[in-house]
Amino acid sequence: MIAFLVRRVTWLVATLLVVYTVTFFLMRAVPGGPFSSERQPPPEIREAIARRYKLDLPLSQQYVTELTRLLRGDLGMSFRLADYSVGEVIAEGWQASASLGTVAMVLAILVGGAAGVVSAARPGGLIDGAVRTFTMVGISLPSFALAGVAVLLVVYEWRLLPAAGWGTLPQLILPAGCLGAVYAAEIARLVRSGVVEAMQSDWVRTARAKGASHRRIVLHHAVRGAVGPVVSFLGPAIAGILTGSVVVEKVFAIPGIGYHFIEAATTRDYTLAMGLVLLYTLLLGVAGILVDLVQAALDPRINLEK
Amino acid sequence: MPARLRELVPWLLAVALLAAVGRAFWLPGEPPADFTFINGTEPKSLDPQLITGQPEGRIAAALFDRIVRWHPDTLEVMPALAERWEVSEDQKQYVFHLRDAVWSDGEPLDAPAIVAAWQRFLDPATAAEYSYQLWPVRGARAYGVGLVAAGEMIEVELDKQDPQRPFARGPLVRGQASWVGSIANDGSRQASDAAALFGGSDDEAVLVEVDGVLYASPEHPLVADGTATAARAALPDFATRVGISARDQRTLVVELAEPTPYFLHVCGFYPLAPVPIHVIEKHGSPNWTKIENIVCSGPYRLYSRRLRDRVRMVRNETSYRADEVSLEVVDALAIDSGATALAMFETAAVDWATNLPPFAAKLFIERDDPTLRLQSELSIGFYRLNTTRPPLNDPRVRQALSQALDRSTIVKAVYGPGQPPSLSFVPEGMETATGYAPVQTAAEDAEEARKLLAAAGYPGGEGFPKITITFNADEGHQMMAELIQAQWKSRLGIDVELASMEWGAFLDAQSRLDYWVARAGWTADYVDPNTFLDMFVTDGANNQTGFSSPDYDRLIAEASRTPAGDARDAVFAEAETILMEELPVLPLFMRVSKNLVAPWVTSFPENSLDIHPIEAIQVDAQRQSEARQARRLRGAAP
Amino acid sequence: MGTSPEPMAAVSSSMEVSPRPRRTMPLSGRLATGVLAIVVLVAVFVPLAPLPSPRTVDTARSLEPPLQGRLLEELPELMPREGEASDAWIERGFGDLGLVSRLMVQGRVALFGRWAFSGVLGRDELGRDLCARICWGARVSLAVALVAAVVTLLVGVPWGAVAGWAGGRVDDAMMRAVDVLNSIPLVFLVVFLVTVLGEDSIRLALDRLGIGRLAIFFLVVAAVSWLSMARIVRGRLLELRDATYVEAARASGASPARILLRHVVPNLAGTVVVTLSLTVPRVMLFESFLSFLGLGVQPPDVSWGLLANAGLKALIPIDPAWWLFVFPSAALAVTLLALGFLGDALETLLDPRRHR
Repeated sequence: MIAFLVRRVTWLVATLLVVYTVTFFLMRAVPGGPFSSERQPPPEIREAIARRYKLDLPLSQQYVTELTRLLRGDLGMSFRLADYSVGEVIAEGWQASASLGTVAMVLAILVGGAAGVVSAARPGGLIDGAVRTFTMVGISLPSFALAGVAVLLVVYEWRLLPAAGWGTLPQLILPAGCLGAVYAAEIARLVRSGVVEAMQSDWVRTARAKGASHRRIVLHHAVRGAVGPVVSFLGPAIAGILTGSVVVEKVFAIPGIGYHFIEAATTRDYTLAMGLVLLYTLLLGVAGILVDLVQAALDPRINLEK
Repeated sequence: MPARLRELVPWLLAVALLAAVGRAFWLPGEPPADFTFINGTEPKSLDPQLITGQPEGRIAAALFDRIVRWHPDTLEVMPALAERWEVSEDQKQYVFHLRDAVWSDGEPLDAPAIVAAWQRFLDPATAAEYSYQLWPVRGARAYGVGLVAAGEMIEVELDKQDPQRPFARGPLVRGQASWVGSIANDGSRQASDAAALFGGSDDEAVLVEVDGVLYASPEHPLVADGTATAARAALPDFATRVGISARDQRTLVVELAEPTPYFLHVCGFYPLAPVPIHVIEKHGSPNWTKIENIVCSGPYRLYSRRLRDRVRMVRNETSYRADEVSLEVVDALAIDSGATALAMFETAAVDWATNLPPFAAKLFIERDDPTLRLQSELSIGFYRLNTTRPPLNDPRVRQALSQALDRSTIVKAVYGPGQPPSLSFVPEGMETATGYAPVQTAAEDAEEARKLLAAAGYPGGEGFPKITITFNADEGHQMMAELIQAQWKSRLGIDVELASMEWGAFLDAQSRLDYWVARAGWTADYVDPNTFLDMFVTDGANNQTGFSSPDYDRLIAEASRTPAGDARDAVFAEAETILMEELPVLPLFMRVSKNLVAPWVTSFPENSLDIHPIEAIQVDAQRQSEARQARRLRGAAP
Repeated sequence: MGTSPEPMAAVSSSMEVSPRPRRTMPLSGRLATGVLAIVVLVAVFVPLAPLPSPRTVDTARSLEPPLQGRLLEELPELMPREGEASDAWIERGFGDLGLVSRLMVQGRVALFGRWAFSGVLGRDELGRDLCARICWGARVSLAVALVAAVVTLLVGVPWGAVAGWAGGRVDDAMMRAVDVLNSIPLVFLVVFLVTVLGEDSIRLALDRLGIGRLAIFFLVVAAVSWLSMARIVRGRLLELRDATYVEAARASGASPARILLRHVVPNLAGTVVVTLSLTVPRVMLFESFLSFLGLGVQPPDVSWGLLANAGLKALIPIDPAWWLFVFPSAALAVTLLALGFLGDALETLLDPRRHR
């Protein structure tokens, strides 16, 4: 296992380096910069700005300077959010995103898992058909459509929940629901197909032959078979959901970091964009490692050293 | 994987899950504020000297007082930090008598503090984007650009740190520069006429010599071997060469290079607000804006700030205006989605929204909805024409393009009623505000336009190259471009393409003159025709059209020397006439500001700069809390 | 987009893998195929349809609800105005059309004259007919899907197949490349690519090659959609390589080419088709996501994503123009649903590991 970890971590570091390089040059290649503005200050001031933020140095020098700074753990100051360092922006946004993401994912796992199990218990039945249709619709709708309809109904028509914002429980419900709904649908499908498959496997047949009840079989044996695909889906999904869902954050004004992803790119906030890209890569990599570890733990047949 | 570990994993997962869920539900709720408004985007900074946008300006104006302020309704100059002032005969010297004001930490906000603050504003190291607003002051421009020349009084900031004040300027050496230039590796000296600071590679690195001592930037090789002393910057001597000084604790004297009639007005503009230098020197920038460090002088002070959520301000008891302020706690929300803003407004979660979806705007206008406040702004929407590219370099072609347009139909179609078309570059509202009557370009005349085009060599549009209208991606701009494209096609017979660009790329292309026709807009910084007309001097940073007329430059310079009055208006009129005949820009429409204001807001000042000082706003708290409870803006029935 | 599941990539592979005889497609699959066929037909033949043009602005009829006004009328926009070239009205109303579409539009005028079913689904705030826009938007949305599918097949399948078959270092290197591309948040990539490729000089160069702005957009989306397929194909190939019957074939002396053709390709085909049917909906959703961010298809081109987003903005609390949102979203949802059901049905048929 140690060899496995060492190998994976090394690859992660290499990936981070490549991602840094690609992102660095890609960002600099795009026209416009962090200080593009409709009101142009006189050229002397623009030069002063470039000098102050070291934007006038040759590219290769900027590359090396930034890399050394990153290796020291200093992500730099954000250009666009001038009062904050990149680390502070991420830290502040992280709280809301993590909160939202956790609640959404838990909801998704509970609702999706239950739906999948119930549906797989009697494949081809009425409930199965209903669940399958619902989940299909769930993954066929763009998330902003779902959010828009939710706002129209719940906020305007029924006045049940607040329209947007962050900080109180009622403000958490709608965004978490919208965010979790799509994942719930995916999880339901995965669980269903995993359980159905497991139910036809040898060891379930053995259990049935031994006289175990249908319910026990489903809950005990089949679910274990379904956990594998769900776990491997969850890895990247968690990384994605935690770094924020842009749509939900925009519609419900959640101060998470998903919004920053887009903003940093469109406003050419070099430092923030780089910090976020690296964070995302790191998360994805760590999630991947954890997922493999968990899967190995749950399924004795998996050999990590291969 | 070892069996022991394998058994533990499900339990670890369960614990992690519980911890995550527990943490997730720990939400940072706060009691609601007395007044909540939607401020558009997240403010770039709370430091008034580093910002240029309207959302930032609203907050900065509440937190930091200026030496004068603008009347909420008429925009006339009113006393603020300065109780009264005297202007000299030649209109070049202003003497401000300051009141006894303090910062929110008790430190005095006196004349020396203001001088220090404005020095920071002009300092090239601060890189304040709006610092050119202070350039009318004598010597300010040279200081801001940092040009030093041999024979001048300069100040050199040594590269030393006072551990007690880690962010203060280092010790200063003041004296006359005996020599300015660069020194090559072989030791030969190359003097320059004037040079800025210590930039460039080693060979070009600038050094100065004062009283026999050589100063260079710390990386210069001559510093390493001891021949030169390390210094961070060399600037014109502020005390003697820049016209900002403190005669005593409560008297500020400002000397201008020319009699600039609008200077007093500019002093009320938020970037000129004094900042607490004593705090900046202690904590540095930007840390001084953090809630535990920040110190304010305005009617409000900062209470808390959560990124992309809200800036919470509370009444500042140390301000001399504390008694006039009626709203104790004010929240400025950072929401830039128009749809979300509308949703919050309609559910009574906010009391004022500065942005709304254009779709809703048109609907509200048609229904005469009382919550939508329209106010014509001193702001103009126009098209820039690249005068360096043929055939646009021919003024007849540009005139033809202008006269072929039916502006009112176009503007009405895109923005609905309420946004008037404009034939002058300076908006008509300037006349009510200052008495200056804007000069218009020739009115719509398709026949005349065709004649002009033919005279320029393109009869019926034949042979006219394909030009492109560039704009940033937006339905409104798209629509306007399409309508103009159609009109030029049908009236002049020319083919025009459309190009929608992303914002950053769009600005970049314009500044590099990489376009044919580009959509643009401009809002007044202060109430004076100069803010519109001085854009188009030769090589002006906001010119971006390649337009250059020595007569125009002369007239603008003359206007800045002439005291306010009919003579000055006449000079501006002459300049604008040139502009409207040469037409490097096509004026299109005057912009109208749109604000959604809740019915229980009893006092909401409105003016032509779309400035609504928070301290002048009042609400009926009873009606407000009823509406909030019901989550409903408009009465009981939906 | 990169966070959705890759089906079956993680289930251990010791189940039997010999190909099974085909059964008939379930009802849901057949319905789905029918629906998709209708959508494709609409997209292809809309220039022939008696509908208004999607770009003609008529501000007098702004925000007309569905089924109002004269539903069948002669439209003035479908003929040249005085002083114009005889073909200019086509470009005005329909944009820059290819030869076939242009002929179809002319054919339409020959067949139906200037009569059209107008305002059936309502009009938007510029008075443009929604039904026409949805039908023409289908072209763009399906084109995006098609380009993504083609790129996925041409790039993703060979990539994954080579990696899986070769194994060892080659496999490692190729998969690492996929990982890296997967790690860069898609949005960044798209924003940068769209703006760089939209840069004047580059755009003009591509224009000369016949690649317009829309094509650039398609390519960008496709560029990020082949990664999933590569990974799945590689996984499948790893399984197949070590499968018992392949061992048997090898032991009995069959040549690698024969093994490939008879055993590997049929098994792989099933996985590829199924994954494709999952990639396409994801790409279409991604396109609408980009439109939400303002980075998607730009006006005057029209796509379902653009229409759905514009419709979303019309869902204001007072007097919502609900039709602007409901119809485009329904079109999108129905198509995606059909694709989903089709994918499920194909799974049953083609993927031999599932016995349902």
